[in-house]
Amino acid sequence: MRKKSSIASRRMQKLFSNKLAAVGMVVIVIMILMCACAPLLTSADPSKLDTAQKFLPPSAEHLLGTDQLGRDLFARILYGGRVSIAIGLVSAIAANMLGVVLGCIAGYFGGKADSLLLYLAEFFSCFPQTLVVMIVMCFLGQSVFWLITIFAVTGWMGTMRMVRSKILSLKQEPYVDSCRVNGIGGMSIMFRHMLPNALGVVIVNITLSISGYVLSEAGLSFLGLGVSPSIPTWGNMLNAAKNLTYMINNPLLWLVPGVAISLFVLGCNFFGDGLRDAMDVTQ
Amino acid sequence: MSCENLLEVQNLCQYFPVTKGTFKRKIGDVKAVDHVSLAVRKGETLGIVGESGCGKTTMGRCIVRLNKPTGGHICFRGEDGELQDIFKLNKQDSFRLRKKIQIVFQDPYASLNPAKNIFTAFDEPLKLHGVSSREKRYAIASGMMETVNLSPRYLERYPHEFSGGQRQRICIAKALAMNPELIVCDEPVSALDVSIQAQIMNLMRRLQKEYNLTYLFIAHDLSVVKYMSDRIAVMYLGKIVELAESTEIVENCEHPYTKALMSAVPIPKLGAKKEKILLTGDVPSPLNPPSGCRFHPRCSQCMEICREKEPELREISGRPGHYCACHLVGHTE
Repeated sequence: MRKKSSIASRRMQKLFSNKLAAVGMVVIVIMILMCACAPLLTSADPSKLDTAQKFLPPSAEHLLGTDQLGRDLFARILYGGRVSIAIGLVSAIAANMLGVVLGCIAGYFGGKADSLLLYLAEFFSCFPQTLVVMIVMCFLGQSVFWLITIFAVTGWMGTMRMVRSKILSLKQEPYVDSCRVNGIGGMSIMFRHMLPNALGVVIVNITLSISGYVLSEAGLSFLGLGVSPSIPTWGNMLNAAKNLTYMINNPLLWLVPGVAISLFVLGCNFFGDGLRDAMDVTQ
Repeated sequence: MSCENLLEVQNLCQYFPVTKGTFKRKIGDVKAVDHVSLAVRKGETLGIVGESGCGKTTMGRCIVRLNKPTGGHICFRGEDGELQDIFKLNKQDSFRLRKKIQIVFQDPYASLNPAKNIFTAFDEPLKLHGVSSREKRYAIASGMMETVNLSPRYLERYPHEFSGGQRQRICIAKALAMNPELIVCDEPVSALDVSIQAQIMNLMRRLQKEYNLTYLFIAHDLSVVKYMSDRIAVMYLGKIVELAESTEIVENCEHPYTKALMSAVPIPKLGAKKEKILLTGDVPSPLNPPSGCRFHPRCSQCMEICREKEPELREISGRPGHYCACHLVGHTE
C-alpha cells in the first residue's frame, strides 16, 4: 500500500534529519507538555503567598526554591509558562491568519484592494507596538485578551506581504485558470486551491513568530505593561526579580524564567528554521 | 461532418492598456487580437498557427472566458441550436456554458495543482456542475482515466508523480469529464517531446471521433497543426492573414507570410531541396503596428498600396473556402 501523501512524508524525513530542528522540537514539546500538566508535576499553588517561607533554596518540597513572597518558583514557572506560551501561540496564529486573509485578498483581487492593503500595512508597520500597548492598557486595563489582540493587529503585515507575493505568482499558474474556466468562485480558488500552495511559508512564519511574541510578552511584562502582575507569566516573574539585591543574592529568581524563555525561543527558532528548509520545494 | 458553425468569433478585439507613471496615464494599447473573425464548424479541428505573440493564445483565452474581450462577439451554439453571444448570457446560462467549452493548457507541469491529488482535479468541477454523488463523480473520473489509457488507481496520486505526457493526458481527461463540445487546445503538445507529441495527438484524434468533439487547436508547430487540423488559420500580429482547408494551405498558400512559414517546415527526406524564404527583421510591436498591411515591412513583394491600405480577409476568387488578407491576391467581389 502506498502512502497517502509522499510529499508530506518526504518533508517530515527532511525535517527530522536536521538535528537542530529535531532538538528544538523536542524542547518545545517537553516544555509545552510540562506546562500543560502543571498540576501533575507540582502540588504547590503558584499564587499562594507565604512570607514565612521566602527565599528558600531548592529542596524536595520546593524544587527551585521560593521567591520574595514565598511563592513556589517551580509552580510559577509551569503555570506562568501556560500563559506565556498561550499568548505566543494564540497571537502568532491570530496575526498570521489575519495576514493570510488580507494577503490573499490583496494578491488575488489586486488593483485598488491591493494598494489599499499595502498602504494599511505600511501604516501599521510604522506604529510603535509599545505605544499601542500603553494606550490600550491605559484605557482598557491590563488583560491577556487585549495583549493578544494588539499583537495580532500589529503583527500581520509581514505575513500579508509574503502571502500576497506568493498568491500573485500562483495566480499565473494554469491550474488556477483551469479553475476559473470551470466557473469555480474566487473565494474557493483563493482559499482552497491557491492557499495550500502558499501555506508552507505561513507555517514557518507561525513557528518563528511564536518565539517573537513570547519575547514581546516577557519584555512588556518586565516593563509592567503586559499581563497584570497577579497572573504568573515568565515576563512577570522577571519583573518581580527586577531588583539589584535579588539579582545578586537570589539569582534563581531571574535565572529560572530567563532560562525558560531562552530555551523556548531557541527551540522555536531552531524548529522554525528546520521547517523552512524542509518546506522549501526548490531544494 | 456537418457544416454548422459551433463557434463564431466576430470582430474580436483584445487590447491591453499600457500605462506609464504614477498616475497610470494610458499611453497606448497592445493590440493582442485586433478584429479577428472566424468560425469553427461542429466536429472539425481548426488549427491556429502563428509565431509567439501573434495573439493566438489570447484569442483562446477569450473563448474560454479567461479574458474579457475589448470588443467584438464570441457566439456559441447552445443546446437550443441558436448562436448566442457568450458574454451576454445571464448568470445561470453563462455558468452552464462553462462546461461546454474546456481548455487544455500548454504546460502540463503547471496545469495540475501540486497540492491536490488527481481526483480532486476531476471532483470539484463535476460537483460544481451538478454531479452530487461522490460515487458517481469517482466513476466518471475513473472512466475518463481509462479513456486516456491511465489506470483509475492513479486518481489517488499527486501530480508530481507523473511524467509530462501522463499529465497532459490527465488534463485532457479532466477537460473531457465535463462532457464539452469545444476544447480549446492551447499548444497542448509543444511542451512534450516528439514521441509523446505523436501519442497525445493520436489520442486527441481518437477522442474527437468518439466524443464528437470540436477542437480549436492552437500551436506554433506547423507540422503538428497540419496533422491535427481540418482547416488552418494563420495569424500574424493579432490578425488572421490566411484561412483555408489544411491541404489547401499546405499546397497552395497565397499570403507571403504563410509561404515563408511553410518554407520553414523541414522535409523529412534525404537530399530534399527546398527554397527557403527567409524573413528579415522582427515582428513589429503590437503596441504600434505598421500602417496598412501589418506584414508589409517584412514582405518581399510589398507594393505601394500595402503601406497605406489594410487588406481585408476575403475569399480568393475561384477558391471557395480559401480566405486571404493580401493585396496581391485577387478576391471575389
